[in-house]
Amino acid sequence: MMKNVNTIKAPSHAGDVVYKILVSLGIFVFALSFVFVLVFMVCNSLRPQSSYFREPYAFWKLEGATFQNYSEIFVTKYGRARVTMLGMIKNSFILIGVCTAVQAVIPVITGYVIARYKTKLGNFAINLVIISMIVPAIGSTASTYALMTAVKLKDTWLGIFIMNAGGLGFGMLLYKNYFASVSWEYAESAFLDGASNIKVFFKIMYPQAVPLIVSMAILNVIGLWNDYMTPYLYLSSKPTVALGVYNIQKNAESYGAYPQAFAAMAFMTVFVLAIYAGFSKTIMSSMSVGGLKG
Amino acid sequence: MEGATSVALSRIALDGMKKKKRKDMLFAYAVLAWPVVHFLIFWLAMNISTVFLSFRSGDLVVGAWNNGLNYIGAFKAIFGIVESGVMNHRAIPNTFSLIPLSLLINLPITLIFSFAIFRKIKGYKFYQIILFLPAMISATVLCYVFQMFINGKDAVLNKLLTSWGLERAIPVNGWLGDEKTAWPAMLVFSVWTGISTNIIYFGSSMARIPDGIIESVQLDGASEMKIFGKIVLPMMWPTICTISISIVSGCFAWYMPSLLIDPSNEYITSMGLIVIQNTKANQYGLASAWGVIIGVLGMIFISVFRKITEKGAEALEY
Repeated sequence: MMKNVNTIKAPSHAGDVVYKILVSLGIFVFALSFVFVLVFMVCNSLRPQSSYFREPYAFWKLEGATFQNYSEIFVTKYGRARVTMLGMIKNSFILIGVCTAVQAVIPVITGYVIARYKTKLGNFAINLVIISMIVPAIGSTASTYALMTAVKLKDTWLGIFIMNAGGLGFGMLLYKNYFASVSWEYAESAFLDGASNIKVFFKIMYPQAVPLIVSMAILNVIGLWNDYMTPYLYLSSKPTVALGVYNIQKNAESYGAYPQAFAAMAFMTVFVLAIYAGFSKTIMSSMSVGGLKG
Repeated sequence: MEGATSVALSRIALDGMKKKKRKDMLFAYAVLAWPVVHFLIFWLAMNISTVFLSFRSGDLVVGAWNNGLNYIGAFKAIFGIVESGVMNHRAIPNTFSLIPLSLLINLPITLIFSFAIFRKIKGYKFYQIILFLPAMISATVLCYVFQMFINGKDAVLNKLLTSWGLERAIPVNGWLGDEKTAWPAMLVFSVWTGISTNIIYFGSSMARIPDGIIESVQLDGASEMKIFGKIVLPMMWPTICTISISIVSGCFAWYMPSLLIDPSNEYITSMGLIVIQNTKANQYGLASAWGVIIGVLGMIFISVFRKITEKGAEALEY
């Protein structure tokens, strides 16, 4: 049986021992700080408001621990839009569902066409993407916001879906690299059998890229779930969970309902952790297939 | 006779190929039309209209040329002549200070952590998940918890310092309320949350290095540091360059922690924050002027940086 190169025992060096201790310590401290955030958040979310007010920093004091804060966030209406956590979850799911579905098709087929069909438009598109990487995107925020306001697409689902339906970006580059590296033999035989371009893409090429598409979709879901900025600018009357949690925090600062804010944050984080725990292997393995090169 | 048949056959084949080529082109152009149009509207046209708006008051539809007042306002703030809230002389130095921090601290830490996981350090499976936490936990949550740790009389850090008898180290106005400590506190936050998705890209790039290469140097007795410095780094240099460019570009767009922690705090301002704040306040002209300044500075800096990294990068095919 082949032995993995990373498990082969190398002759030990004094420097290696120091390196391993330092790196292990570094990663451990770093990892611990994030585990601590999770513990801090969950513990505080279970504390009654009175206990929190007595000793706000004593997160470990869980006398009278209760799920009351969680049930509160599902019935209290927050922010200007007066939306409960349930409403925010619904908004997040609409945003995630449509945008993820769109992103699982448009950048994939764009990457495929650029990789496999040599056209002037494809070269032009690649040059556009390369040039766009040099200009920080934030600069045009005001004009995009002004455009969405002028065409009355601000604060509408259609507007947000159109904005997210682009095909030229980082994801497309990953798909392009992927399709450039996979075998073209099955596609060629299908063409000889009279299959159309669209059939070859959806029946032969797309299924091969599914692991990479799933990974990108998961990262997309996590990104959209956590995205505060897009709803803040373009969906203020339909707050998603990320914007809603910010509203809950602001509410906590005004009314002192801090444990509720922690409950909202814990809920928000647990959702993402559950997705990541379920798909981390898929993400890691398919990213090595897609590959990123300069 | 036979010759004529073969000519006819080859003509049919040629026609078939031409027909297929036409169909291919039609398909390719049909597929590419939407992404290209989308990009031209949401990137090219928006950048052009940013320049247009930066010389005007009002919005895209109603407005008037205002003799460069937006730029005059922006430059007065940059040089500290007339400052207003987050629009002050700290915006550019704060933004630029993120670049060395990201490249000289965050990037090397991410690379070393990725290498340790790649080399299956003890507990690597656990770390692989934990190190991705900053990307999974929303910025809203991280900023709030960070703020609770350092700001206010009940802040965990202040409680710790007080219990160790170091209360004199705590600034009177809090860590974020003091000019000397506010931005460094944000830099600490940036380092803390700066290791995230890049660990996946570096990990995937390392996984593509052929086993044989590492195996042979390992058998020659190379140390871990040597494998890292002499094999892994040079082989994944193109990936490092690509990620570095996106890191530098990200520094110009940095605003989220300031916006979430204290959007009106003048000490923790950044160029990106000014764009967002003015956009939300419908001050499109001013936001666009700052947008153009970011665009120009970003373009110059990123292009130079790209040239430098490309010079050092000899793409290795493996």
